[in-house]
Amino acid sequence: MALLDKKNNHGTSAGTSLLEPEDIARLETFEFAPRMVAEGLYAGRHRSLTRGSSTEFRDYREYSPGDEIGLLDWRAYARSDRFYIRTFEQETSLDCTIFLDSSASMGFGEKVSKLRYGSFLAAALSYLVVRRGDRISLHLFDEQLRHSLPHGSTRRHLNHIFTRLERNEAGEATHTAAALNRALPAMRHRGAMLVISDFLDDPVSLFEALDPYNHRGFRIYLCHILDPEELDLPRRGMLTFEDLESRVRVRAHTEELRKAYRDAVSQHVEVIRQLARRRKIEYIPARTDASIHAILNALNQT
Amino acid sequence: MIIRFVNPVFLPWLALGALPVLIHLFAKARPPLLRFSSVRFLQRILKTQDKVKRPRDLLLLILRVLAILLLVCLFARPKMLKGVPADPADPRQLVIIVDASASMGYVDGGQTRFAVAAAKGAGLLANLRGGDRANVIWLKRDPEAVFPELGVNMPHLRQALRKGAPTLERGDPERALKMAVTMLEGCGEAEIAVISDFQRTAWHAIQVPIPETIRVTAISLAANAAPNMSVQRLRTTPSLPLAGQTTRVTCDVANWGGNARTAQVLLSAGENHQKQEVSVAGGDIQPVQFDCVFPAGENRIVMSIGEDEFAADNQLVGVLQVTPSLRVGILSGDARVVDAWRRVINAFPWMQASVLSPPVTAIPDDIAILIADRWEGDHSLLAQRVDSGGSLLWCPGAVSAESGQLILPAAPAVDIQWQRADGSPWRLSPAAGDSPILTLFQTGQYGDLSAPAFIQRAQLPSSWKTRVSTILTYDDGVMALGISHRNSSSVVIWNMPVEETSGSFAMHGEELLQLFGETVRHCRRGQGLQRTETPGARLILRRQSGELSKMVLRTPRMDPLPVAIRATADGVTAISERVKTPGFHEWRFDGNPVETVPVIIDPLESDMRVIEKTDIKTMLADSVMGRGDDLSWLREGRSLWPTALVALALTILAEGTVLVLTGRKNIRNNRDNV
Repeated sequence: MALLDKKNNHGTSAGTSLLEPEDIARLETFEFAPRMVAEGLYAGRHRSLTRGSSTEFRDYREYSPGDEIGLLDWRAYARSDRFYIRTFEQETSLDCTIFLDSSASMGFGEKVSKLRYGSFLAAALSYLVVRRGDRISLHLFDEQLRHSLPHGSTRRHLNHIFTRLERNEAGEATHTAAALNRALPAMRHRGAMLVISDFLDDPVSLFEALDPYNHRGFRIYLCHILDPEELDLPRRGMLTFEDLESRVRVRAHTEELRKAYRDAVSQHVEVIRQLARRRKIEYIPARTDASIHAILNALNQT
Repeated sequence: MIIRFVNPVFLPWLALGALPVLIHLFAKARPPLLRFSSVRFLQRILKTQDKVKRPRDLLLLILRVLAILLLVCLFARPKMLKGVPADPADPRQLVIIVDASASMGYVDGGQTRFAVAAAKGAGLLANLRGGDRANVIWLKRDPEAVFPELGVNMPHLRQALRKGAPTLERGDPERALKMAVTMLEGCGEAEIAVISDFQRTAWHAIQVPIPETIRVTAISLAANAAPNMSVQRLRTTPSLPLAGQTTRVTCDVANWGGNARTAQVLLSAGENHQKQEVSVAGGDIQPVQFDCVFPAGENRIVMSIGEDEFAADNQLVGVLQVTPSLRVGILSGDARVVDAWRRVINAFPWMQASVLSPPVTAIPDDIAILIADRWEGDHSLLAQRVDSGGSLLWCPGAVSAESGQLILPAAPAVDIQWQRADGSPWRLSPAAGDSPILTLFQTGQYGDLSAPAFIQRAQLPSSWKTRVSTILTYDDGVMALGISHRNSSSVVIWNMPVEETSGSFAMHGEELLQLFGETVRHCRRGQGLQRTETPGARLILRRQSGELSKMVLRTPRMDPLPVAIRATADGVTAISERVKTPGFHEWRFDGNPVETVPVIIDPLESDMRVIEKTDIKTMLADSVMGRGDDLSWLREGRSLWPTALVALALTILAEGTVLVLTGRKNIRNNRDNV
């Protein structure tokens, strides 16, 4: 990772170290544009449920007093002898929300911590959203919602996000469901939502917390970040494992447990994947030793 | 049973067996710490693994301790000893009893049991060392020791065993054991080794007190229920046949094995050669019968079956004495009585009447039945005749006096009254009970016994009814016909006058003849078959006079058997040496046959069932060994290091198997649980 501590080509000045210029250069080729019906406040590039003033014809509506006279379709009047008004699609901006797990377990990582990796992903994604003119919001949580940045689409807002991410550190135990439930009332407009976490939590309660978002029409992405050593125990013989969250210690021989552990983690991942698929939620697994651009590609293709 | 170690110096190393336990208890691993994102999965896996691992660890611990102990044992070279005296350095006193009875001739596995016994005995002798003393006792009818007392000449004992042969005698285990115990008295720690098939008929309930200083080892050579068929128990019906009379010869075919078998039984008796096939179930006996007609004189009967594993009991011999006709003596002073009885006797072709005129000083031996009406001579003559197998038929005969005395052998004299019917005559009626004498008259085909009328009879005291079996009575209850059986003879009370002046019995010839014939037939007792002897017996011939130096006994192979002549008060007695083989042994005087003695194997030797090993142990022995056991370890002990090596290998293999199996199971459980 590199710093982004000077004004870049786009005039972005950030006192953060998450994005290097070369990283930004590479991000230029990416775009985060979920195919969904947005509900933004400002005119933008995303199709809206409301009728607006774009150039894209939607349908005819019978004239009612108070309608603008200029919208009358005289040709339709000539054919039917009745007054019709032509309506057009409203294009609005997209509200994108990022939930970044900042629990203690996210602090685990052999070369780079999962939290660092997730922060970089959040930063990159924020950059892509703001560059497109959409609004981005960031929520940091562990067992509760620790920090929330509202939606914004300015460079300044982006810098705030970067700064928050840089200062963020691994906290306490994970409780994703509690954080999601806590943030739900503040989410007024539907949009895209990205949850970045290791999901070492109860999958059932997680998806129960996601269900209200899903019902409201949010486009939800789950980015499951795991360290290679979490997927496959290191071959280090007898070890005392200490849980980063509960501080519980377990003594075990990695060779004896390796296969069973791998199976257990695979099973856990598969459970989350299955639950996500049933709810039409996008699930994107990520290893910290893999390039972040692969995740961005996956996001782009959904 | 004792276990000793050749290298006991290694035994302290057995303490190493505690090593795995100590390691398990005190070894505390301090593995490096790894801060991990979540141990939730690890805890779940470990929880399921513990269910398998704990018993597995315990099993592995036991196996590892066992492996160390076995390894140390391997170096210590353990030996299992059996039947060893307290101090192996002491000289041994050993008596070997080798069963040489007939059953040891049973062919078991291609060789006789005796051959195996001799080899085992030689093996025991081979284990002895210089200074040890031993003896061999042959277990037979009269047990016999090779040395009069314990000796050190082992080569001679081994040679005796090598040259020994089974007899056809019945063994006497009790006497053999007593002989061995007597021989070892005062020898301190001593041993008796009994090598036998432990036949149940011979060894059942043997009671010989064995001193505590004597250790008995039994070496059993036979399995239970060895297959064997035998022919035994020859008999004839009638038991005293006459020449020309159809005689039924019966023998029993016994199957001592567990499975049914079929045998062909051959009869050879003079001109009679017959055969019959018989199937006998396992453990069963089937009689086989042949109908023959024998000439007068001595008839040799041979019954045989096909040869099997034990050939000695496949042939049965017997000598049947057949008389040409039955000589009946008539002793009466009344001519009418004599004439009447002569006519009755002459009506039977197989009877011959002989009238004895008083005074009688002797009764000839060839008179089988004596008919007498009164006897005024020496009563001891009658008693002697009855004792020597002759039967007596007493009838009242013509009345010459109003009263008289009836004196019968071995009975006090009783007074009798002569009676004459005043009015209606007396008639006969059968007494209670079914007498075989009256069987012929049950259908009425052979006459009616109630038809004859009697006007004279003797009034017998009522006390006689308890001393004889009443066959017929008169209609007023007076005994008419009674019979009293003795050992080989009978005394018949014939209170039915046959002369014409005493009634109409003579006029009813059919009833008279049939009743007399049946009475004679049933009053003849004894056996026509000559008494048999068994191998090991001495045959004895007694003569009141004569030059017995010319007496020779021939074996079935016509070899002479030495005979000792002894003069006794009664005359001269010839006693042979012990007969060895079954078959016909013939006494000859001056080259002429005098008497034939059939010698047969003891039927109990045919029963090959053996007593249980537990019974042997309870009754007799400290240790019981089998036919195939190696006897050298009685002294040398059995080396256990190969067993320990195998056990060690198996332990290591078991440890590996446990590791592999529990590893797989563990993985499978984890997969199921996750």
